[in-house]
Amino acid sequence: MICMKYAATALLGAAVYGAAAFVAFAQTNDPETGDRIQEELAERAVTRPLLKAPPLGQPAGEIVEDKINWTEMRTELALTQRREIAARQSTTAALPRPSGMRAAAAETFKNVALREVNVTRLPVLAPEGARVAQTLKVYSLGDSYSATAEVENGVSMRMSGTRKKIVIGDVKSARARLSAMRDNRKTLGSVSAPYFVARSESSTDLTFAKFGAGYVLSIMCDDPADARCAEDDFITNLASNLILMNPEAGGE
Amino acid sequence: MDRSRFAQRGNAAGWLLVIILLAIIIGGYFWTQNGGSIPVPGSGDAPADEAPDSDPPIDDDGGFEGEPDDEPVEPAEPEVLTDIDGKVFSYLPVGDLLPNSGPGFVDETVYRSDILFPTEDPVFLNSQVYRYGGGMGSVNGMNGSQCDGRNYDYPWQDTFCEHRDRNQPLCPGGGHEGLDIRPHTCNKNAHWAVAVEDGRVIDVRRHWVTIQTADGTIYNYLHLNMSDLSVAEGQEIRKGDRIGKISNDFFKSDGTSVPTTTHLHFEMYENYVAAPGDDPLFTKVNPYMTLVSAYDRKLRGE
Repeated sequence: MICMKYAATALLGAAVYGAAAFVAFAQTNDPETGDRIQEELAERAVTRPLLKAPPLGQPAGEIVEDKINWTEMRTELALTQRREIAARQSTTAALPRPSGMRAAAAETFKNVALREVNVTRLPVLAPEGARVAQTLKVYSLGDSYSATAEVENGVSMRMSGTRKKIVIGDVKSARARLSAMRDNRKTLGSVSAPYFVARSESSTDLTFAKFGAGYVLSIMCDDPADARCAEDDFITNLASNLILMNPEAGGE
Repeated sequence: MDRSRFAQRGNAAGWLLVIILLAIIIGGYFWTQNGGSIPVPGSGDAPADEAPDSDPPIDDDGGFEGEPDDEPVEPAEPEVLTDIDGKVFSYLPVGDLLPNSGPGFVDETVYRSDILFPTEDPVFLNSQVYRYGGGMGSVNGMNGSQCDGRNYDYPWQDTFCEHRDRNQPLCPGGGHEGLDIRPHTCNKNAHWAVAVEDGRVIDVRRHWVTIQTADGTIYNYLHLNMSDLSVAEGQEIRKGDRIGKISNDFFKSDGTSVPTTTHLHFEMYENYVAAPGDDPLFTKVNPYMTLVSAYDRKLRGE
């Protein structure tokens, strides 16, 4: 008898749930809902006067150029070298190769044009890797550059850097979220720089600032759900072993 | 006899149970498809005080002020900005997304006040996913074709941080860190995308063309007709140069095609700081107000 009561209660609950779900379905698939949304959008929309139009949004401020700290760049190179020597001399067996930034002459990459690297006025960084080395290309615009390559099957990358930055000032409601992004940064061991990872439909991006320049490493996966893009490990490993293509640059 | 009646009752109860279970399954399916909620249209803030009054003043007897009542009334010149088709340009505030489509990201910054709009023809910024013809259109009662005329009309609507699969810091709940731009008509390979600034083509692969400027800004143009581009990798380009025609190209690295609507997905990366001494963040930013500003200037012929 008690079982019957429980069964009846469960069935009644299920029926109410099913009915509610049907109501929701009927409402959302109702074309009138779409029409009503369209009308609401039109009512809330803003038009622009032909004459004496007020300014739009919040204009960004000036673009400033940072001084590149070439000394710091050479110090980072030396630090990686020291870690490598220490690892080789260690009596402990099978020490992993230390992460870090290593010099690699541009001439060693068959698709990299030397002049692109030579005219770049900031450290030209790219991730290490056999497939990357085979496919690496660099395009320079003087104060900025981008390096592109295939990383593995189904994953390509682009690494960009610039010494110019735009001052956006008070970003109003976005300020809190941007501040949280800064606060959540971890430290990238290879270059001792704070970084964070962002994901979107088209790429997974790791950004950090170092030597007075801003860098972003983007990887693009065939499938956004691919663990290499969906999780942090792959991109942080890539950024943990960087090559520097213009170690002799600097002296400004 | 009693046994037979009992069996009949049992059968009836069984059928009832099956029907109820079916209702639960079907109802639950659609409930899940709708994100477990009933959409509430118009949940964003309405900037009613920003909308200028475009109606001409009307006198007491219904005629326009200053017009003799017995003469035919000339249509008033529009006092608001229109496109070349005579349609009134209107847009929703930044961060005001369609119901059920995500949290949005309010960033009113016009990052570049002098860029060219990235298309030659008038366009419509709105969702490719949550409107007519999109995979999630039904959650807003917008069932239909991508070519539905209601997709090709104003107002513009922000789609930055529109809900997608992946979580990320800028867009809580997953996000679309770019803007979707419908071309002037539903015809693919008919409308040009152009360079917004002087720069260099740094990447042409799969379904994207990437341009970088001398100060580091990166613009990504996705879903152009990749087999008929007007630019090549490494090429220097000038503001206004044609890049390619807006299409629905979307490829994996092995060349497999992924279905999408005809649109330009436009992204912008900036290296930015709040104050000159800060360490910069080099990330994707919301280009919505930058594009509203560029379109405004385009319509004014500036």
